[in-house]
Amino acid sequence: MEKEVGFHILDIPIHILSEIMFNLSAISIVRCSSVCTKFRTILSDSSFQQSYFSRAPISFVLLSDHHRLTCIDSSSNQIQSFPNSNHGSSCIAMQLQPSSSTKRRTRTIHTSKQQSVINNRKRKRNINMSRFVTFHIHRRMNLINSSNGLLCLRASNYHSHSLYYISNPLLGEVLTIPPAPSPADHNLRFSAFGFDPKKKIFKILQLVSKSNRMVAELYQSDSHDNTWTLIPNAPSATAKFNSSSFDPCLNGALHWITDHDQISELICSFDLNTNNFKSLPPPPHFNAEYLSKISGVSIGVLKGCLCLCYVVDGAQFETWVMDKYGVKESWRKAFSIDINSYCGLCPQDKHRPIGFNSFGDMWLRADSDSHSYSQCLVSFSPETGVFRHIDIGGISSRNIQATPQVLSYVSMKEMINLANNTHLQFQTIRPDKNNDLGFNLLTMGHFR
Amino acid sequence: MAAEKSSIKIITLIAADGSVFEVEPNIVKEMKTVQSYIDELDQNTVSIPLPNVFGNDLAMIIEYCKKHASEEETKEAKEEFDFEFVKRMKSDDKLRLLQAASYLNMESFLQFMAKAIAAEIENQSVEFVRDYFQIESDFTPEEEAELRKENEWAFK
Repeated sequence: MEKEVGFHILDIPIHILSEIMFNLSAISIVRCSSVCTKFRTILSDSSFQQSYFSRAPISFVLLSDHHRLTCIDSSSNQIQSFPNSNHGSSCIAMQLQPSSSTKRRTRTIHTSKQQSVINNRKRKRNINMSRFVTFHIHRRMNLINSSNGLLCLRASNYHSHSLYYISNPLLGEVLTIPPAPSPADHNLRFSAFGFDPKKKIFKILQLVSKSNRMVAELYQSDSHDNTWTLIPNAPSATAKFNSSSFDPCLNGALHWITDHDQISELICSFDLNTNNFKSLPPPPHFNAEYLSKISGVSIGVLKGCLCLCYVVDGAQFETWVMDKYGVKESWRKAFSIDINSYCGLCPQDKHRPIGFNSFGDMWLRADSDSHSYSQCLVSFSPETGVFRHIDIGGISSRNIQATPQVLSYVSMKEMINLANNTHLQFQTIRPDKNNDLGFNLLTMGHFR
Repeated sequence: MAAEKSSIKIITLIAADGSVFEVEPNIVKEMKTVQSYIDELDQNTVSIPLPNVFGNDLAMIIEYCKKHASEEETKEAKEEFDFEFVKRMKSDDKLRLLQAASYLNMESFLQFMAKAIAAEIENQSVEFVRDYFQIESDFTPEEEAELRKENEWAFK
């Protein structure tokens, strides 16, 4: 009877089909492009790709033991994730009033076992699926950061040259970059990656401390001789050790924190377009006295704005955002958390988030309470004040690194212009059922 | 002109199967196709035939519009309504309603249906999506084989 209307999905105008596909996760898009030629045409259209990418949710990429890379798709479907209003958590939850309120917090702590039905739904929203790429590399791997759908990793032995990789983890694609001039030892203070989707080029910057000076080494994908270059006029202020940037790339620039005495030099940036260094104004309340009271300053991106996270007096975690990029007066406090309320979750880096997702939820690493010696992830919603465990699909790992990333379904071969650069080693890690190396696709069904 | 328009009290919509719906003007505001029709008329009661929309579907669309046009309903109540609304639909219903939303030029309802359909094919295999939309693969056997080889996981 339903067929009486007599229409077919392919008769529906393309802009309406696109509307459906805008709501799909990147991995479902990959699937849809194999459905038929019409779908493929829609999905490979560059204007569709651009608008898909501009509204795609922020996911997270995890690097766990044995060089295993997992994408966690944190996209949300409003319909599936109902009820939105009721955020539950299986662990200790804390509620605070919205940050706009002047009276900042009323705190109620409750454990909420009775909300487990809701939790399951919420988990589904958090992880749609996940997939692995296992690197076949016998070195220490570090997640650096992601930029516009591409991920940067670094492999290193102490005292050997650092080797960078650019990857589209969703498609298992990996590009190997020539070794950097300086090794990844304690002198390496900062490294970050930025990709310009319009020019289709990427750059990797590493800052190395050499005889109390900062040396800037840069790799750019459009270099003709495929080598790293030294960038003059690097800021003298030493970049803070131990990754002060959890999400450094914003507005075509890379950002980091220095340990300079000059407050105006606290936030440094590197313009990916002009290769120039510039400092950005910190919040107005930052002065020498205030700086002595705070610790663990880190910088990242929250809902498209530059943000600073730090701990005041060892008791209060605060996040500030710069609403208008580069405008000192536009800094405002986004939220704060009483550090004591972390108890029971034992986050590893109380003052260093992994990143923020599209809803502004902060993700943190924590010790798993079910498996000793293994780590898990926790999210915190500033809106509701609730902490939640993130289901990472049963991955048990002693050491987890993670970074926010918008997943891209477009092949790196299309994304990056490699015409001038034929030396780069490109490979795709394909699924191989007979071999643990290679990637596996895990769907939610497998997790349960 | 404006005074005359605001005097329109009831709009009659006639579905493809002849069933008749009487609705308030604010309900049809979302339906741009109907609204532009009304804008051209000065009569007190307007009757509009909708030959591309079936009665059952139109009833659902009007129900959705009523709920969302209501100022008394809370955001949460509307979300709960949306959730139940989608839950009681079959796959065919969703595709038909999407088509109707497209014909009636209803932007937010169209996005709502697109989301509901996306939720059905999210995380499903290529074969599932083909079955769901009743699409036959039009790749050449060689292309199809290559796709299956390259993206083996996508077909599972």
